[in-house]
Amino acid sequence: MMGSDARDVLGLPSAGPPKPATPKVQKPKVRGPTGMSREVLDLKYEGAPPISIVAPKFKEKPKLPFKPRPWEETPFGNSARKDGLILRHWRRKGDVSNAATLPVTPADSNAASEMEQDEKATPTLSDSHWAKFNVKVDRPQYTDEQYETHLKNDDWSKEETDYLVDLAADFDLRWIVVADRYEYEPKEQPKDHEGSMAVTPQAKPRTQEDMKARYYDVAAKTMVLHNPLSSMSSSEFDAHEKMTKYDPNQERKRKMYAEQLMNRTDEEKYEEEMLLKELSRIVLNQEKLFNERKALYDRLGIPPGPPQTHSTAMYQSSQGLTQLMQNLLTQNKNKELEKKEKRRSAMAAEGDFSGGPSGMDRSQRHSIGGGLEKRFSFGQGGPRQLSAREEQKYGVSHPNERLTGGVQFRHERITKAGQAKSGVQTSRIGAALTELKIPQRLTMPTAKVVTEYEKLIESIKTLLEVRKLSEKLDGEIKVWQAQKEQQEAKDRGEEVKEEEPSQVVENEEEEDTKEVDEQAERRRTAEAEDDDEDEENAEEKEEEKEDSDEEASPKERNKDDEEDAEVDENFAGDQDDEEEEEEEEEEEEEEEEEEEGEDDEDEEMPIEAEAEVEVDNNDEDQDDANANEENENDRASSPASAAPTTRSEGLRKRSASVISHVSNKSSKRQRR
Amino acid sequence: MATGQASTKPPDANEYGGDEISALVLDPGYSTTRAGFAGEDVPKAIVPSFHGLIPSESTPKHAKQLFGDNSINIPLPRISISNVMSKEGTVEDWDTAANLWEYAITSRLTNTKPTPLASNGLNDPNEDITMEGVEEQEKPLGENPLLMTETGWNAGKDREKGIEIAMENWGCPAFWLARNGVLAAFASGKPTALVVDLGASTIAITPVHDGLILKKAVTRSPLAGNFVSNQLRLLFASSQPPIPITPHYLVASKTAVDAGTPAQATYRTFAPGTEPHPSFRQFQEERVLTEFKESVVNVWTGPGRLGGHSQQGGTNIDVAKQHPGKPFEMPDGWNQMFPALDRYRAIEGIFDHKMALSDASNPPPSPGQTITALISSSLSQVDIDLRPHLLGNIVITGASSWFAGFTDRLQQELQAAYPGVRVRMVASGQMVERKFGSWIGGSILASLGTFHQLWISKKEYEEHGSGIVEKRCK
Repeated sequence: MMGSDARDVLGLPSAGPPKPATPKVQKPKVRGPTGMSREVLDLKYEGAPPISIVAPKFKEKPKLPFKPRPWEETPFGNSARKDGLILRHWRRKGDVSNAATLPVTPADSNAASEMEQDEKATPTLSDSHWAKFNVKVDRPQYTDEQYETHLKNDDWSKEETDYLVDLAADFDLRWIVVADRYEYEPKEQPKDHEGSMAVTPQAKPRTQEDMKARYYDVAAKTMVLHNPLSSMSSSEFDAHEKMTKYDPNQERKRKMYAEQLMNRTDEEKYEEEMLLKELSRIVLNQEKLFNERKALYDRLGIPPGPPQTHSTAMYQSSQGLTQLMQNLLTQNKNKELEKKEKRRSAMAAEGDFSGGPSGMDRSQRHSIGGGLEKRFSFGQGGPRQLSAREEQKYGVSHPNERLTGGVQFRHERITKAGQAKSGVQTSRIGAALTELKIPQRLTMPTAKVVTEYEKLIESIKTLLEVRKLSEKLDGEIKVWQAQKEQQEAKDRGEEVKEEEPSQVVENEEEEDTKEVDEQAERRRTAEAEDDDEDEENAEEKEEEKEDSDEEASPKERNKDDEEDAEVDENFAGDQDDEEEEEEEEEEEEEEEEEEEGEDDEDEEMPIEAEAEVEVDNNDEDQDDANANEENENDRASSPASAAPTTRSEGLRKRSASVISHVSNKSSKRQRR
Repeated sequence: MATGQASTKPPDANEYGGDEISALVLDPGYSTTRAGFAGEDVPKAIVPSFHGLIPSESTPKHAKQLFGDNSINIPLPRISISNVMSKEGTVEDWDTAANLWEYAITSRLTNTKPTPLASNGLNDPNEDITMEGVEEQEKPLGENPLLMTETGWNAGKDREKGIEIAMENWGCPAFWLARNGVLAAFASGKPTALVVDLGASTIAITPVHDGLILKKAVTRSPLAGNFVSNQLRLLFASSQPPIPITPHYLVASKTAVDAGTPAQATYRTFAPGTEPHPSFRQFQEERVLTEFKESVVNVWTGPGRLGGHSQQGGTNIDVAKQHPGKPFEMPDGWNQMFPALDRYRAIEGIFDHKMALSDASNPPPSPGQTITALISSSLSQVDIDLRPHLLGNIVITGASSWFAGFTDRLQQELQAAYPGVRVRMVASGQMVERKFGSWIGGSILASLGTFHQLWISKKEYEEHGSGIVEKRCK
């Protein structure tokens, strides 16, 4: 183009062939591959570029919903320090969390000005968050006089005590450290004479226990000095108790044992491990043993419910026994099969299990068990001589009587004892037992217990019999009294009646206050009024009095008596029965005497029976009806009524004989 | 962005009890000195406790001191190497130590504050400038409380020097001196522990109860890392032919050679008068031995001791002979397969004094110096009630405890010695935590909020003097 421009200027014709007038800018027609739509082609070659070009830009700042706060190094104080040290830590600006402000004391501000001279003087410094953790042990405080009067100790000088107390406070009663750092050196004694050598007393070696004992002694005493025992709070008192009870010797001993324990040799340790294993095995097996025992009980058919009439008689013959054994064997087999099955499945589940420690245990246990067995079974030549204690333990008895043949189970004896002829009686015995809180199946039926149990049942039976009898007698007495009343109404005038009530009232008053033994006395006075009394009767009375004394005396000695006492309470209404029983028991010894007495029963009886009746009524509840009855009784006891007396005489005679008879029987039974 | 947001919040102080006041922790050891900010998990500045000395030509009394890995490993003319610490693990050369520590702190952690231009004197036409104010501002630790560590047996005046340097030279606002055994226990999260610290120069057994050492029961012996190095030297010297130890700086070039054949290397020579001091060579050899200890030496862990009898009837030495060896190549290319027995033998002396090699300059250790004896004697001086607790919390720390199989062997030895007690080791599986155990404990302690009340402040120092350390840092 430059050349043509120059020619234009110079007016020269163009050199080259004439140019086309308007050199049409021909866009090269690009033919795309056929079959492409025009729009697609335009996208490729022409038209607006498909991508909009955006000027490069930095990532926008995130728009934070808050204003960022800068961090700043803020100074802070610490109220736990006394020197006003100011440290700095980084905190968010304006962050006032845990900024408990520290009151600026002169010391603080001084320190601040000293140490942070160019620091902007802040009026308040925030306190350290951690100052509150500065806790100190209370040091026992005592004055010199207090020390002299209360804390003096020959072994410890005051200086050394002070040193100890300070050290203990310094290390917050970490005694191990106190003992480690204890380096008390007594000061040189001030010397009077120049010539004598300065003697420094030898520092006594102190063990941790010595230190503790001294410190606790001092601390406990000062505690009491500041705060007498009576006004201490419970925690303070506990602390005081602990301190006064500290025993350094025991502590020393304990440490010695602990050291021995720690210095066990490998063998000792192994032995102990073995013993522990053995123990755990026994404990494990104990449960199994219990279960087996229970299973055995179940099999023997003792249901835990009410007493069953079911007996083991069928097992007493040899046939029965073999049958039982076979039963047990088959059951055992079944059980073992089950167990094996279980074990097999467990083994399969656990894989290689036999190599484990439990396998070893088992073999060891077998060997140990075998050894023991051997020792016990074959170690002695012949039967072993048992000591009395062992005999008792194993239940070996040397009976003098002939034994009944066959095996006898104790539980059978128990069930047998609990049964009476009639069902009613049996249930009554049962009721009595339940009242005594004795289970019908004894929990631990040892030979001794079973004998005692049998005795008890015997007495219960007697009791029941006597009670029955007394009820019967009561009824009869009432009938006779009614008759007597009727007769009296006819025969007698009103004078006697007027006299009697006053006495009754007196009696009542006495009853309210006095004990049973006094009743006997009263009885006697009442009888003294009666004209016909003789020496024998007096004797009899004495005996009775004793009886009642016996009753009133504290419940005594053996268990049976106590049980009786319980019955007493339970059968409050039927105390007369009880009395009778007691009488019987008393009479066991004096049986013969009693029998002798029976000979002159004819004369005695009225009085005795009378007394009995009186006792009956005295013991009964004191309602009006009874009081009335009593009146009548008293009247009945008057000698004037001849006919009824003779009638009641016969009855009483009978009852007395029955009583003696019963008591004889029971005593005989018991002797057996 | 929610998580990012959360991270800008300060962690709740109640969560970990921390309240950082940008305190510094300085943990000097025989081999290295560790320094860093409290609250961090690794010290930022790890500086060898060795320093180089170049005696100046004119005044032989004044030697130029060189600190840091980058300068003491260069064979400068007539350079000699010495250590600020004694073999006991306590500071020997306090003046140099102060310089070394200042170097450690200022090189990585805090810079010496540049003096303000107005007062630095450069723009001042006058010659007589007042230096008082300048000095005040130049103190490197004016804003950082300093926690320093010491060994369990450090006592007397040595304890007071630290606070003097910190307060007088560095202007610390607060100072604390902590026992490194306690700190190692803290690093493992134990307030009560028996700390077994295998350092370079000493094994230290420190019983710690509730964060306080039991001074009377601290035991130590020199059968530590350097003892193993000496065992290796003896072992190399006694082998046929003797194995040469050529440090790196002597090797100019080398070619690979077959195992057992003499090295083919060209060695650097120094012009007479410019050779480094023999202590420099010793120091460099130690570095080679360290490498050897790290890669080849192994603790015999088999049942019983190496000198004992195996269960099969033979001696354990016979058993050990069948174990595989390990190859090692010296800096000059000399290499060899080291048999297993040698690998075990080098360290067996720590456990069994009879197996230690000895010569005139390396006397055989006494039976009471072995690690098991140390632990036993330490425990015997501790209250019986505490012993089982200590045996249940044995904290293993120190770089020399990193020998392969060390923990297993110690466990075995102690369990055999105390069959009635459960012996449990607390040994971190992390190299850093073992190497810097006591520093990490210091870092934890100094960053705790409750620690603020314990610091000895400058004011207290001024009031009571340096004796306050004895009173406060128990």
